[in-house]
Amino acid sequence: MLGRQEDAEDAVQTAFLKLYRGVNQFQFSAKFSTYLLRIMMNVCFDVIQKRRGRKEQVLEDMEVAHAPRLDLRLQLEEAINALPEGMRACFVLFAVEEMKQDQIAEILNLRVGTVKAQIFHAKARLRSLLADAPMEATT
Amino acid sequence: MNCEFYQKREWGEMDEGEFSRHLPTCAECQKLLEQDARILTLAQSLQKPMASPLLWTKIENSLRAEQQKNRRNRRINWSEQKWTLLRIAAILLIGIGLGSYLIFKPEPNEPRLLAGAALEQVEKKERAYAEAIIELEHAALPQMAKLDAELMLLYRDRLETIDAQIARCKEALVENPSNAHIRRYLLAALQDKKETLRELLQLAG
Repeated sequence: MLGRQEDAEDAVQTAFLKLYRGVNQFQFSAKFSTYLLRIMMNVCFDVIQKRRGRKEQVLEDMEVAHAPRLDLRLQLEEAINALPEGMRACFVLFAVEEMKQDQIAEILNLRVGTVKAQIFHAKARLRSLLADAPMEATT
Repeated sequence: MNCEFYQKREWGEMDEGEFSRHLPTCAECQKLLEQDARILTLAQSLQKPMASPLLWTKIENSLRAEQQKNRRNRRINWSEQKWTLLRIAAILLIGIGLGSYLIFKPEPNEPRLLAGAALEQVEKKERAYAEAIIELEHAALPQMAKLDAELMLLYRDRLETIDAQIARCKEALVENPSNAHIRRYLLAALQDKKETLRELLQLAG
């Protein structure tokens, strides 16, 4: 979701701190895992928002970190990272974390229809981004 | 993309059975389905990031630091709030004391009313005293002259004082005949007169 290991680990740490601070607000109407994932996703969105302020620096870092990638999986990773954040969140939770659409809707506080639409658009974008890549190489 | 069936199916607007019937007839949908299946397979095969071995230690440390910060804040808050709490406790104590006094305070010396049966009983006793007093007066008053002058004046004053007390009580009872307090005074006065007359009779006899 964040594309960088350090950012992801910082996000996990922040999510646990937020959980510790706000565990009293947990309502037992939702699953605890859903509650935790919702915190996690909100932290991720915060990180992405902050990144926007230092976008150029991050892009430079990424260019240095990721030299031309031949591996299709890495291309897909980059393509996923290029998706808009809401679409990316839906796609990652659906395709990578293999969650159900209604669960994703609950975590992201969206309607199931919106989640379905976001996943559909994400796949369409990825199709076009990976259009030139030899998909057969993955199998 | 000209065919809308695939989008409808993805958005949950089309029944899966209907799409299955459509699929063999539409090359576009077949292609999209195949491409998406590959993307999903590829996405599922993406290497899940491995957390660094120090991640959990870092989380534990940050949680511990947060806990200590909270404890410090609570201590600071306690010392700040101590006086406020003491003030509240003092107000509560005063409130409880005042409330208890109001609830359990002794009955004021207000006249209490006598109910029917009790009033009858008191009146009966008063009548008995009155009758006894009349009898004693008949017997004792003529004997007063036998006493020496000083003693006679003393008893006369005493009887006059008692009579005045009886008269005041009877006067008050005209307006408030059920007043137990006045009735008690009246009975005490009648008893006092009866005892005084008996004493006088004994002295003269």
